[in-house]
Amino acid sequence: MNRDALVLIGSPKGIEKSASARVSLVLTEPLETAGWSVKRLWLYDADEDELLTSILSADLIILSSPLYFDSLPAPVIRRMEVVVEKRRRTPVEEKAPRFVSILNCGFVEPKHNETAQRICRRFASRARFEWYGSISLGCAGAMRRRIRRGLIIAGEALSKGFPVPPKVKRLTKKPLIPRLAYIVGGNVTWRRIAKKNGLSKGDLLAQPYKPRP
Amino acid sequence: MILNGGTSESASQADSVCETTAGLLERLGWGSSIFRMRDLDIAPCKGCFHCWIRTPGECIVDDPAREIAREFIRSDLAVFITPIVFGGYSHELKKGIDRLIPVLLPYFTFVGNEVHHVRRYRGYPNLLGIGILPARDPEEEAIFSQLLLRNSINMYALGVEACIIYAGEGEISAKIEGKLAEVIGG
Repeated sequence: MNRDALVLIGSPKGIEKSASARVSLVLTEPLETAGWSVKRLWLYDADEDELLTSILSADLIILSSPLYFDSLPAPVIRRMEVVVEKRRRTPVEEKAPRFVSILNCGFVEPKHNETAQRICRRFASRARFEWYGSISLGCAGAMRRRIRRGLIIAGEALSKGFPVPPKVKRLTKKPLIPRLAYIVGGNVTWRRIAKKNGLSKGDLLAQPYKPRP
Repeated sequence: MILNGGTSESASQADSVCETTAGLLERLGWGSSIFRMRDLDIAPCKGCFHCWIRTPGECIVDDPAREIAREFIRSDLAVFITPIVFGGYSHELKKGIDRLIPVLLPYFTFVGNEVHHVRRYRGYPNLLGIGILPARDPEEEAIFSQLLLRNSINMYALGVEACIIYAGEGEISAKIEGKLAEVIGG
């Protein structure tokens, strides 16, 4: 049976280079192996008509996006608003598309994504999509074996028509590395990048705006 | 500062809430700078981190979002006015908030029991979120409150309040005044 999956990438870094895209590729691998056709759209430049047509023909919609200030990036919210507005005017289908959200944040703990996942779930309900689960990742979507395994298990379940299994949450909810190591390693990395750009440690702390007295 | 995140569909109500809030602040002796987000051409955050590692503290894109970030740091209170969209902010409000990232440092630290970015400035404004809903919606109201609370942790706000206004609600002034008193006191 031929099935269609639509992957919506919500990162400004695009459909190829972004962590959101990379993560989604691992998830869709089992779908493609099982014979699904997978279409990818970048939400930042997707043509509105194409987006809506693709949604209407999809059996499964996967949103993969970074976390911006505890929510989705503004252009992603804009697209969500448009989708719901258009869906309000289209007849109810016999079988609603299924919807899965994968969010990645720059913090070590995946739980920072929780508020945004609730927003995604609300969106799915307003758009008349069937909620098929969520996956939250930390460390900017970095993948180790445990995360990769979780994504593959999720992809396999989705390819068979099942929602994201609870096991995936168990595999992905724990920080990838100890939190203190992330702090130290992250801070060293930022300093190293700044140095490459000719900036000192002090430069990085600049306060260009006059604070309130 | 007041960020009016009303979209074209929710403009009149958001503008009315904005006007009421600015009036109340004036009565309390506060000045306010108002940004009507739908009138501002603000580019989406590119996620390039140049505001951290090339031009520290300032976005490389020169548009009104820079002024918003500057005013944010200057303010004692930031008021976010928005139609509640799936429990969160409208895209109009969010396009300004996304560009506030330069007010933080790239470095990580523990805040409570979580890892967050380190503050760049000593002081940050308290937050008041005023969300507009067509009718009561406990789930979206709960998400909105949670979002503000989470933002207050990431933005180092010492006080945070959420205020929900329903479409067609008659007297909104007292409700907003009550929340203002709580957040300014916070």
